[in-house]
Amino acid sequence: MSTSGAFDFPPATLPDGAARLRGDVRAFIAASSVTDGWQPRSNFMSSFSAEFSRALGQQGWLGLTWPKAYGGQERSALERFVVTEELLAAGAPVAAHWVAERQSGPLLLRYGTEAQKQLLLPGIAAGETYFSIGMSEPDSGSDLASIRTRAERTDNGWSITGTKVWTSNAHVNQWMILLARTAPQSKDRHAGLSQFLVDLKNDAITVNPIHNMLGHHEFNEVVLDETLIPADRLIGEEGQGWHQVTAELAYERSGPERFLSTYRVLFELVQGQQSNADAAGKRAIGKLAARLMALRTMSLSIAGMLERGENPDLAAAVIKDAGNTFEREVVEVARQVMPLEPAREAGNVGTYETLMAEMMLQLPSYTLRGGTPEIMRSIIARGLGVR
Amino acid sequence: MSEATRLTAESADRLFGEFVTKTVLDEADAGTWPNALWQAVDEAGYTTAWDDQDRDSRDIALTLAHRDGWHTAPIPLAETLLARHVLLVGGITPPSGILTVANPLNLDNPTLDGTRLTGLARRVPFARDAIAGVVTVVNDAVVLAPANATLEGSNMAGEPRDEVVWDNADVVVGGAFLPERLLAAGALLRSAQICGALQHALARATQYATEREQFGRPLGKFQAIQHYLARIACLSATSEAALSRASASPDNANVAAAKICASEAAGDAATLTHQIHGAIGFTQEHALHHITKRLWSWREEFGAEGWWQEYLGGVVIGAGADALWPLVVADS
Repeated sequence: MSTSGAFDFPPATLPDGAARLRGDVRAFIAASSVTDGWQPRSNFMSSFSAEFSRALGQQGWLGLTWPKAYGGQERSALERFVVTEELLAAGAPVAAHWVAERQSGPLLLRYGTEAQKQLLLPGIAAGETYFSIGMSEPDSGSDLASIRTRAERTDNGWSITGTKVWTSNAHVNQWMILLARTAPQSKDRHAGLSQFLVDLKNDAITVNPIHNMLGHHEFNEVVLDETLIPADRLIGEEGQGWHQVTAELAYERSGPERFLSTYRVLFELVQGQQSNADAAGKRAIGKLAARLMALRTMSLSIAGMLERGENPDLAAAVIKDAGNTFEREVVEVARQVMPLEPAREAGNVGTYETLMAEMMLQLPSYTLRGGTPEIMRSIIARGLGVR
Repeated sequence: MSEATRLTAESADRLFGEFVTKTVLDEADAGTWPNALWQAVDEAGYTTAWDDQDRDSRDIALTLAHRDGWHTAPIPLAETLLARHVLLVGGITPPSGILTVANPLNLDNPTLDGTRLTGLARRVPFARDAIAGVVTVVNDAVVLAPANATLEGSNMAGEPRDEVVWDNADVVVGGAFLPERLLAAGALLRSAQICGALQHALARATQYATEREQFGRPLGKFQAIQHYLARIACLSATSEAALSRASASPDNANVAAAKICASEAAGDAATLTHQIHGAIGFTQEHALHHITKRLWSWREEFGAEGWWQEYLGGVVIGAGADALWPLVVADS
């Protein structure tokens, strides 16, 4: 029997200069929230502000780890971690650039052609070019390998037919990275998949809005019907889409947004207990603070793995599952300690009551986006060797 | 993990693997002192590993406690490490031999008059075996007192937890030391032991799910079982992360977080591990209970999660909401 742990989260230490960077980011956020008048929002996908994303780009804080030739700063993954966690904890309006900077850019950097990198990375780093994720389909959710969108070779490119769904911000973003079948499904379900760049503004596609249960328009359905795209839109190698998308998902799952999406509730809870905390209130807050401290240490460790070029697949599944569990617990514990009636009031997002309403209505999506707990637990079980 | 701690872990795994047998555990449960095990641990130099005040020594002590927890060694290694460390901080030369520690929360009306101590300590680990004495804190000073066990008791795992009574006993009084500091150091060591035991529980549950077949396939092929194992892995990983944070920077908030996470994880992990093992895990014969009984016992010792939650919650509320995030990222 192995005497070691199943999954290692080796301790990571932030480099010199990280403290100063953190201070700069905090000062920038404080100034921006006053000048631009934004309210902190817990859910990183709820607040789309091209203005804010461009301002971050101007600071040089997007694509921080990328080569300078593509608009990056050649700084470490640990410094990027500091920027992202500060933005999330402050509830800054990061939705516009988030997906592009987190996973689309790194995917292109790793697998894209030189021309693709030159065309797209500087815009992402400037906070001007935004990406959607084209993975899920009406009949393919957790079972991603079962997608049916097909890309067929034409004389000078590809013809794509299929429907993508739950495509956040496809109505405002410029690009989508689409996963499609380029060879019929064989015994190896993961073979024959490829990734493509779809120009959401200029390609012949239809984007249909899907309103979520809060009444917000973030989701879309994207329909491609023999949509023609040029040959140079293939990302990486034909047939290697599964391998590539797995790497992309590790970026999507491993970040601090997977446990900070209800952080404002904890903040308000601490604020609300300031003058009248009893033992039960203290215990509730102590319980949540302890878990948050542990999750943040794990998250920093994953940033260290990324910095060393290691694959954080398993660690990402652990923190996604543990983080989602924590996010829900924050809301449930808050209900016990401060049982005020959640309220929905147009234009009022600043109170505990309206925050609780928004969080309760958002929570069902947190355990779906980026992969469900059921999928995360199956990945962990495979890591343990029982699958 | 540094090279030194890795080597310590390997050496401890070899030693405990040889000496902590099922027979030794069963005999210890029945009240026999595992002399050969203690001799081996003492000769390997483990008991004096935390005599120095530096970070490396602390890491090695915590590594030893972690492996002691993994192997469920039925000896007061963690207590002796801590006792010696506290005595040296308090300027007292530690006597050789088995030492133990009395949790300051478990002292009843201690009265210190010069070097004369009167009072009572409850639930003192291995007091009946601690010939070299019991270390505690009275009047914010380190005290080394005789460990005369007047009433023998034990925890769920059969580890001695005795009552010690002092009636004008002659003690050694050392330098200043806050009771919270002793409590926190004990909590940190117990957290390391719990983390080791959690890893062992996960390893056992995984192995059993691979070997045991029902309905014509191994248990591990059932999704419900896979998800139980994944849950134990998440609990273990979270507790390890909180422990690594506290061992890097052992302030009271980080120690509180480590003990909260470990104590919370202990119960859920023990429940799931038993569920995976079925009825065989509920027998005296099977080794699982040596792990789970310790998980259930250690989670309450040196402050249960509720005690530390109240402590940490008080710190967070006292500092205000704006100070919470800086506390969370303080390890950088």
